[in-house]
Amino acid sequence: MLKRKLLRDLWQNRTQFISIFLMAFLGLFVFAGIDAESNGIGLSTDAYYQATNVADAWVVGNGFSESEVKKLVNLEEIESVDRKIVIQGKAKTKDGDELDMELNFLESMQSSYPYLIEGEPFSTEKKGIWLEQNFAEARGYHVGDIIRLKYENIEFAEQIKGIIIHPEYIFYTLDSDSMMPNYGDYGYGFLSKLEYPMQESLAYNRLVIGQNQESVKDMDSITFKELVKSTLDREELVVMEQSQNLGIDSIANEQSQHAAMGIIFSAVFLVIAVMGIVTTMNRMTSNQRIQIGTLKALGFSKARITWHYVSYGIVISAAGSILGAVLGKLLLPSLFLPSMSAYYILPEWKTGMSNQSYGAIILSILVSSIVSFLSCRKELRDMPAITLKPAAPKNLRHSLLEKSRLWLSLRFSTQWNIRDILRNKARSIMGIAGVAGCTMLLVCAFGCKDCCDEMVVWQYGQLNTAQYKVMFSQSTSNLKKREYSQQFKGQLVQEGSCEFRTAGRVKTGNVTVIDTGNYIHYQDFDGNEIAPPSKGIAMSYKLASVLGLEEGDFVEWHIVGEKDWEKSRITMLYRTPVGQGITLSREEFAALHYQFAPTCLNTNMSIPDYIKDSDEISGVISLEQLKKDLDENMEMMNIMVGVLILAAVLLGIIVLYNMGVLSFLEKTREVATLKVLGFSSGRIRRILRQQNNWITVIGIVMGLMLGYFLLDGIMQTMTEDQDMPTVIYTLSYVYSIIGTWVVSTGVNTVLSAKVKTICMVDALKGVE
Amino acid sequence: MTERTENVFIEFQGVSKEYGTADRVFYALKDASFTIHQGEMVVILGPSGAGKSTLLNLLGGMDTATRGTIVSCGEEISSYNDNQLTGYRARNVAVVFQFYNLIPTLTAYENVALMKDIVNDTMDPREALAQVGLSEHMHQFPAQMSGGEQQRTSIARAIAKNPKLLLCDEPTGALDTNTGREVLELLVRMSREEKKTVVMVTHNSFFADIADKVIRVKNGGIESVTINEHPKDASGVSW
Ligand SMILES: Nc1ncnc2c1ncn2[C@@H]1O[C@H](COP(=O)(O)OP(=O)(O)OP(=O)(O)O)[C@@H](O)[C@H]1O
Ligand SMILES: [Mg+2]
Repeated sequence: MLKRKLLRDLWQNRTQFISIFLMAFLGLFVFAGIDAESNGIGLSTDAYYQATNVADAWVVGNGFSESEVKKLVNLEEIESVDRKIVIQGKAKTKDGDELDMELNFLESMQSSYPYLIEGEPFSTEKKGIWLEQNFAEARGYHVGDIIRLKYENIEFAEQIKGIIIHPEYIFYTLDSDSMMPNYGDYGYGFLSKLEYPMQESLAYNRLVIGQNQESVKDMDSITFKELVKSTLDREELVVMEQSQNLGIDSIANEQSQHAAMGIIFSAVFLVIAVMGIVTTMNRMTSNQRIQIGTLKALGFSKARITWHYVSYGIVISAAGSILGAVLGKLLLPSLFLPSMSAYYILPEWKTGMSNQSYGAIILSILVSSIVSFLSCRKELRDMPAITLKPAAPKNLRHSLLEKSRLWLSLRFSTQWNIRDILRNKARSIMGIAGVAGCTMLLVCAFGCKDCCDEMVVWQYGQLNTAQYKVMFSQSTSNLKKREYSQQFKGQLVQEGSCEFRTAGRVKTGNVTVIDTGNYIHYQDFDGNEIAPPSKGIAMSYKLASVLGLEEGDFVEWHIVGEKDWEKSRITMLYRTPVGQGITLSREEFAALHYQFAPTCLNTNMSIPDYIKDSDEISGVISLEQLKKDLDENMEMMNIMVGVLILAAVLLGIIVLYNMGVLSFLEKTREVATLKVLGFSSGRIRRILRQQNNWITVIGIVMGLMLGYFLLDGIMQTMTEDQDMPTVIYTLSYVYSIIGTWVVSTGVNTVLSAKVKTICMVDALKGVE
Repeated sequence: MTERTENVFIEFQGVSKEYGTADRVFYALKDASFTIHQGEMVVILGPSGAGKSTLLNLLGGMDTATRGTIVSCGEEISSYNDNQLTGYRARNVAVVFQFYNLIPTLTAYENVALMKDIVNDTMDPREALAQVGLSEHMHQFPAQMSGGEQQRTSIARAIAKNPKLLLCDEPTGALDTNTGREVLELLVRMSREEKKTVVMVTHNSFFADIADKVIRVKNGGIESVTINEHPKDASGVSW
């Protein structure tokens, strides 16, 4: 019979239970959904790396000899070393285009296998080429076709033996500045060294290293890199560890960003949902106080009664959270899939919840069970003689306010509402928390977008004001570059990678050398323009803080590809959103005996097509294109923001509606009494609305502040390489306020319409 | 009196129930002593606030005494802890409350059948409901029944349990004369025909006539215990 009571109670309090169900559902839907997506990235890449045995490190240099390979293999830390030649060739397509094609000629292959999509497996003994999938698809190449290739002046043809993708090319662009890949417009291929067009000079420029995981276990990557360099006695070599591969690094960053954003957001979400469950369960049980007393007086044991009430919590929250997690995992990741798969090349996109999701499910079930357990225990603590009577109201004293003069001057509705709020503190706090949570999530979601927009404005509106960025080819002479600079009245810039070393740690970043000009600007911490660096080196704030350095400190740095380490004093700090590193003036660079070799030219003059197409120019990037790329890059952010806004609004509606129904039920008797006394329904509705307005206003004010702090926290934890100031536009605050207000008053209007339906007779009849 | 001591069923000895703090003690019941025999129909009378409900709650194991010994159904319940009291209630006692205290989400039938969850040898709920004349309203929810019907359901719930001791706290308090009389007749029949011990609290002194024993309570103390050699029939009670 108790089971039947359980079912009927569930039905009778369906609004509450549905809202508990929905809260658990939504909380887990978002949490598990985003978790399944970000964790799924990890699962997908792990599987990919495992299947292809991706290399642990690479050495970039020139003319690696057989004896050098031996030296490395003899190291205990190294398991395998393969030599390969990587060259920037061209493919002459059927349509007559010449497209960039990176060609890998392998001597042997003990790690980093191509992942075969179609055709026969790759082997260093076989002839022919294994072509990248996107390029093959976009340009209509199939297994068995012949593709014509060109390297410098040599043209040669290869038969396509297989279509592949390769774990070293998860993400790749033509030049490091473009953010959006254009797969299909360029590609890569894998061949045996036997196919290298210049067999007489097999100049291996890459070593592919597999580490002995046992012996490098306790070794940090710096020591490993130094070990390789010193073993070969070549300081100019660049050793890259696995995580420095552009694709592997980007997708790992992407994953941790999704995880960070997702987890922080949805954890907040889950907390709000759990709080909602707590209050609802608690009120449910208190409302059944007399029934609990009766059951006890009839002779039911405490354990039986407790179990009866705990099972409410378990049934509802388990149903909600499990269903939410399952659907979240199923549906949410597919929102991200289109943009993710346009960006990163993986053989398979998996989704899968991590332990955090299972933890969250257990947590939400546990919390509602514990809450129902505790609130039930509270009612069971007393002897039935006491529980059988309605609970004595807790706060019977008049508050100080009620004794003051001011009180008497207040209108009845104000008095009534103040009393009601103070006497039902838990309910009022929950109401405020619901509104605040809704506002907070909205502020945070809108703010996320603001921060990104702000970053674009900052980077391309203030720090770099050039309309065009002309990228030089490697072979272009410095003289020619200077000519271009004069022709287009531009500013020459050399950009490169750099390693930094302090007592504590080593970090890679950028080195920028600037010529005189007006396109590159610098700002101090507060965004005031400062003169570009002249003497000494200037370091970006974020890098300095990561390295624990201040203005005036010394830092050791080393340009990738150069032999020497430099030690310089930091004479200036500047703030920049992306590309953390150091900047030097051309003169300072020369003073350190480096040759200024500009990589690009910033200008506002448009570049004629014949120059764009010349061999000396590898590409021209316009500001417009960059902004467009960035916007596309923000696609994923937009999806995330959209999901959050929707979820925030839904959560707001559920929490507020639920709180509203609960308090309405509790107020029924009082409202009925007011009606009996002759108050009109309209007047009562206004009284109820007044209270709701107060709560909404307090909640919104708190939510605006909390939203800022939450966003700030997320921005701080983002990545080391970005310096994103927390910016929330006024408009976003306005949207959040309007959004919350609409949700809150909408819910209240629906609820207060119920005032009319209160039947005075019914409400005043029973004791319960 | 002496010839009946061997079947003493309930015994209160110096029982007190105190409320309040050490320096401001309030006695809801003070030093109460009396005995009740098996099969007796006992009425507890007294003005409002006298301590009648307190006494009944102690007897039903729904409250604990501050001082004194209570023996009921052969068990010394004054020394019982919470769990033991639950067992005592489940085994021996059925209560009819002034405000019925039915489970609102269960029908009349289900409210009675609920007892099956506690005791094994219950009466068939249908029969119990038939005895109180509610066969027709069996499948209605409490909210769909009149006060008298609800009270009769609550009595059916009590008799279905087949208890040794039936306790009633103002069972007719919320009912009109005729319905009250019907309920009363039911209870008297329980006592006379089923030989149940029935203890009933009321402030209606006319009920004194139908009882075997009348315990008068005043200001927390036992004022008098009278034995009625010739109890009247319930139908003869005037209100
Ligand atoms: N929880 C409590 N705290 C303090 N005093 C209490 C408490 N419960 C009951 N009392 C007091 O004990 C006294 C006896 O109460 P009891 O309920 O037994 O009265 P009663 O005889 O049943 O009255 P009525 O006929 O009005 O139901 C009353 O004066 C009451 O104020
Ligand atoms: Mg009473």
